[in-house]
Amino acid sequence: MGVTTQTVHDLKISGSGSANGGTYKNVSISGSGRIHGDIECRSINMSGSGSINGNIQAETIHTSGSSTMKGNVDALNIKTSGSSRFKGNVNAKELRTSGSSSFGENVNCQYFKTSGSSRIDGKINGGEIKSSGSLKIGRDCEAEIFTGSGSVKIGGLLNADIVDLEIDYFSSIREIGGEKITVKEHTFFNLFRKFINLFFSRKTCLEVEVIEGDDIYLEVTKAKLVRGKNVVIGKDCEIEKVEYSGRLDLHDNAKVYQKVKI
Amino acid sequence: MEVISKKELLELTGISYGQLYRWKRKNIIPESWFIKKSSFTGQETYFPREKILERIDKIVEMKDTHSLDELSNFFSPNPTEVKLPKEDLKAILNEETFKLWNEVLPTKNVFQFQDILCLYISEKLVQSKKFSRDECLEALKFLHKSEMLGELVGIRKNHTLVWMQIRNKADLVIEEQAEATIEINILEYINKLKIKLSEF
Repeated sequence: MGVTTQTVHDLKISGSGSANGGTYKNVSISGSGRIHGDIECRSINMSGSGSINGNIQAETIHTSGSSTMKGNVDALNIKTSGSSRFKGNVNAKELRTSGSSSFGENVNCQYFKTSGSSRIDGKINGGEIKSSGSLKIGRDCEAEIFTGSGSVKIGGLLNADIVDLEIDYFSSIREIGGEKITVKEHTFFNLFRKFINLFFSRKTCLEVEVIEGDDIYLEVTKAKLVRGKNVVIGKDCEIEKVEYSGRLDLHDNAKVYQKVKI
Repeated sequence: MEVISKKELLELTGISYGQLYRWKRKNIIPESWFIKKSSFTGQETYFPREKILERIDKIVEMKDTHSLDELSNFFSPNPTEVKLPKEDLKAILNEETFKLWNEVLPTKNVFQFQDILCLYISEKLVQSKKFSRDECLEALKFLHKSEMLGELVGIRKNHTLVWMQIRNKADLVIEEQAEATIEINILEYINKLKIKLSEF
């Protein structure tokens, strides 16, 4: 990657305008701008309402306001705030989103940090994934470290060495597999949250079918099967079956219907 | 095909969940080997027994001296990064083999893994001395055009030789008058070639 042609110009759209894709140095859109075609450049800066109808190859992409990228995106650093829509596959070294972001296909990155509401329809492969707010992943999620606080919904398998979840709303993950898995109830504004939940009869809960790991600590989790070496079933859990090969600790109000030592 | 449950596998090999999931993530254990079946207790995962046990043995043997990415490259069935120019290949394959290739694709100057594999296998055929030069050439052409799966089998009846690829050699039943003169397990040759290329 990298722009190597001799005379490469910047592209600036301000106010309202549109331009064709191509190879540029720095691209900036402020106001309402549209780019048609594939684009290869060093940096893209969008503020206001911008859309790029083509594949993108850039070193850095910064957007604020409303942005739509219709093609595949290949970048080193992506930072978005506001409402951002990625319709194709996104491949980045670092990806940071805040506000409302949606990814129509797959995401591949070394570092993904999202706050606000994020939705990935495909699957995500990341080194480190950190989410706060609401994260929804359509298919599988793979990472070395996965940290989520708020609500996490994953349609496939969450496969990570370390899974650290602080749930504060209804969450559901089809399967979790890894080394160290921790699920806790998010205690921020706990009293207020409890009141709201009670009033609307919402329960903070993580629903999972199967959890498998070496060291597992669970709170507020409802699961069919939990398998591990050392397992701690904490408060407000309802587990149909626990299979453990090392140690099992049960909290007073934990409901475990079958315990099997293997 | 004999299968082994995930539970039994962990017990047998002594590896942990963390390791199994990590190796799955890194593609050191192919996703297709994870077979989900509905059982009495719900969903249970099974693996092809022989393949997984052999793979885990190899991983355990290599994991302390190789990084996970290196292992992933080693086990992947199609290393696409390999691109060798003609001159470099002369160190791995012999002159005769090249002459064969020149008759199939004389203008190729850069060889990818698939190409090198075809040549490597043809070289073995030549060395076995069971085939004429033309027959080896036919094999090379066949391999080059095909998908390369399972076993490469040469079936000879009277003076005619037919080359075939078959997924499972246990499925092969031929008439008495014919004989399978050679059976080459393509996956085995892929691994041998990878080792050869990594030493290069």
